Amino acid sequence: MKHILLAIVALAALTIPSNNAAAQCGDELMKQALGAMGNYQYIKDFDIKLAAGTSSTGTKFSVVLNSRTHYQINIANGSTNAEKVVVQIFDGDKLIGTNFANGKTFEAFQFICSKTGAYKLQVSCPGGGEACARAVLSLVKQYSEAEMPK
Amino acid sequence: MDKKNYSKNPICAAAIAVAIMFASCSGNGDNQPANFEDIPDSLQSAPLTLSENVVNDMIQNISSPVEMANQIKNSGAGFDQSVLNDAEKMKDYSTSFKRALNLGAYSADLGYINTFNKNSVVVSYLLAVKDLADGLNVGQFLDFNTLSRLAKNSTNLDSLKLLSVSSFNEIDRYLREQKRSNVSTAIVAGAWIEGIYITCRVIEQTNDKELINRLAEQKDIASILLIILNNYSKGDSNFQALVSKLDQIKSIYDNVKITTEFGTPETKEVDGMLIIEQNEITHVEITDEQVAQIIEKIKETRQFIVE
Repeated sequence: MKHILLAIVALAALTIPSNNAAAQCGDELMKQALGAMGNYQYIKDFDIKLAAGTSSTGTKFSVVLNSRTHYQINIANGSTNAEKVVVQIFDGDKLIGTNFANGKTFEAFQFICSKTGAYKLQVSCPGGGEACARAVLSLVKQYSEAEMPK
Repeated sequence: MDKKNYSKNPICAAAIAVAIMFASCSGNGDNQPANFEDIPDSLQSAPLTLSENVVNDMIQNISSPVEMANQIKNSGAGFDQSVLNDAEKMKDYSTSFKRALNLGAYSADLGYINTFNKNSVVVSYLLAVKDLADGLNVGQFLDFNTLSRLAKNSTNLDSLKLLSVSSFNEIDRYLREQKRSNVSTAIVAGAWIEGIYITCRVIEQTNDKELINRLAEQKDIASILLIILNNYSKGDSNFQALVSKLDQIKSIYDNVKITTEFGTPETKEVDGMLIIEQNEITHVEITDEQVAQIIEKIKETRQFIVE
């Protein structure tokens, strides 16, 4: 089933016109990220392209996340990246979390959101090198008030 | 968990952010209208107050109807085809404004249909979506044959859901790259209203507390959508009419109280998976009267879109 799904997405990606010079990188990464997503429900994806020398700022994406909702983000890194990209979630100026933890950069992480609102995903390469990546946001579970993890 | 003050939800933060955006955009040469040669009618905008870049950032702040459809299913409510916009009505939408709004509405309907795995009705909605997308010159992103084939085979429904949603994301991304964010905005507005409309219809039948809370929590999203729509309303009677409807919805939401009990986020590794918990608690205060008022205004706005 997963193979059929991936084949369809890959076919669709190939048939979609793109004016992006790095489309090949993006399409292949999308396939990888979707494969890693598993059976969770796809919500949206983020096409990440970092120019050299943008280590401190990286690039930002806005996304609405809902309360009492469990999300997963899978990140597929470009094969030529010198290092894995770091994703940070911000609520306004407040850092909620990052995929860099315990001395390593995770290619997937889950976020249990408890407040509906607009969040920022900031993606960067600490070393400041050029990089491309694709991140897929998926829905793991929606909790009722009683079910919400304490 | 470190609990801090129990404070009101700072909706003013959004207003401040927008004010900063306004300030940063003034005098910016980027805020000129895009070239809409291929969209010859009402979606040719007057000069924008907010730049394309700012709108692009804000427009992503409108949540996916997929999540709302899942919440409806979780509530135990059954599938109700009568809440959908009739797919046959696609023929009536002849202006770009109406096509964009109803492309959004049908996308939300499609999300609802797919969530309930109702592949018996999905093809007519795929046809409607394809027709409206072609009318907006974005039909190339919808592989109708593949989608239709997936819809007819019950073992491929996960693929159908994924391809449907990713196709809409591609349309949105393409429109923004082409500086046609007015079209994208109308699509997003149509999808948001339709998603909320379906939720309201279910609330009318079930009075489900979880769904009512979800409806209340759309307060900030309604404010963001209104700001974006206002950007296109200057000299455009279609957008002005939609803004007027949204303004009434926002006025009701202004009296809905949402407060947050702040906490300290925690990160832990469980079986190799990194899990981040926000650890905040949201409290919603909404009266039955406010719910009824929101439902009434959402119905009016939805009627304006689909009529």
